Amino acid sequence: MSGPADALLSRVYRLLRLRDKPAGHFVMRAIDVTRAKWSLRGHKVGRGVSVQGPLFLDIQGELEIGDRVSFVGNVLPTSLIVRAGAVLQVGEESVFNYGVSLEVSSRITIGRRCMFGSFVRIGDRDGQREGPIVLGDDVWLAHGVIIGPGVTIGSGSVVAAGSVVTKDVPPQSMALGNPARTMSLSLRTGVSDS
Amino acid sequence: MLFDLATTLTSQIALRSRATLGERVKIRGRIRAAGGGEILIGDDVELDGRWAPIELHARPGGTIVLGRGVKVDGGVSIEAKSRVEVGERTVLRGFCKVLDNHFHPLSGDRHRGAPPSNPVIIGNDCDIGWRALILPGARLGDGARALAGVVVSRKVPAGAVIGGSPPVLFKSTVTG
Repeated sequence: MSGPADALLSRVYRLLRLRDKPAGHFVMRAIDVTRAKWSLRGHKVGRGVSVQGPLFLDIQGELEIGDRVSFVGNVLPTSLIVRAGAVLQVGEESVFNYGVSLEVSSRITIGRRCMFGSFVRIGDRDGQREGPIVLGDDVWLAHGVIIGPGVTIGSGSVVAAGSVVTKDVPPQSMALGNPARTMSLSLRTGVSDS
Repeated sequence: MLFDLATTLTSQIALRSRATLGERVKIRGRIRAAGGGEILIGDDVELDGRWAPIELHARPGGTIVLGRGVKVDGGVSIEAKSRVEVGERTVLRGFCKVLDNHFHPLSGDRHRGAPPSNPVIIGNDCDIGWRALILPGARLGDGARALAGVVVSRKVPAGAVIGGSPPVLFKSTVTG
């Protein structure tokens, strides 16, 4: 492509870039919420949940999603796998970036306002160990974090990018490295604090 | 087949409408070029997003520069809020990620305000391994090798080999 054809195609594409425009934002938001209602039908889903892009679901157990949770899947889909008899609970206003993989064999509980970076992997069974995973409120898991079975992460904690967490992380602290080491940061988080 | 063709075509259009391309640039598969920033792609660059999509995300005011002959594999993600520079002939292997901003503050309401950006500069002839993470403030000297899964956020001397998390410097060659 070159010259006028290229210029014309660029112009057409720019017109189609709905998400960048304020009015387009509302349209896309409505589409995302509708898509969430459709793809998560039959489960306990709160109000205003949105799904941007594809979402891979294999739910044989119980799935509970709080209000205003949002999933982004525009590069690679987020996948939620809940085995028979297992429970996955996601607290309100949690945000999932693309490529997140959650696999539940017994129980995973996620608190409110948690943030999941891209390619985060959480599984409560890894072939050797098995145990429920609990994430407190305001937990931030950065890009590429892997959480092992039986781990509890305290409220407000941050897990740095690329970390592999195999032991519990206390509240208001930071975990980093492979295997992850914990350091206290006494972070003040949450909407109420700011 | 038809779907592949459509995604390849939309990727081509997306990239060509947002980026400044050099000559003989090879674009294959899915490329997600997004944001209101600037994307500068040099001559002979190869972007291969056939089996996993590539993300080039330059936010408003941000610039992504890919030097001459850079090779980018599938799943690679580059996000810039100020500046990400990749030197000539550098290879970015599968699923590595380069960022110049953490996007969320550590404390307070994490969805409000981002911390200041810290530009990332990767030198010429570098090799960024599979699933490596290049974080804000990282400067890789010419010929440095970042091994698979490494997390780098500091200055790496030219010709060094770095791996692990937290990162360990394996070899440091003195050149010149």
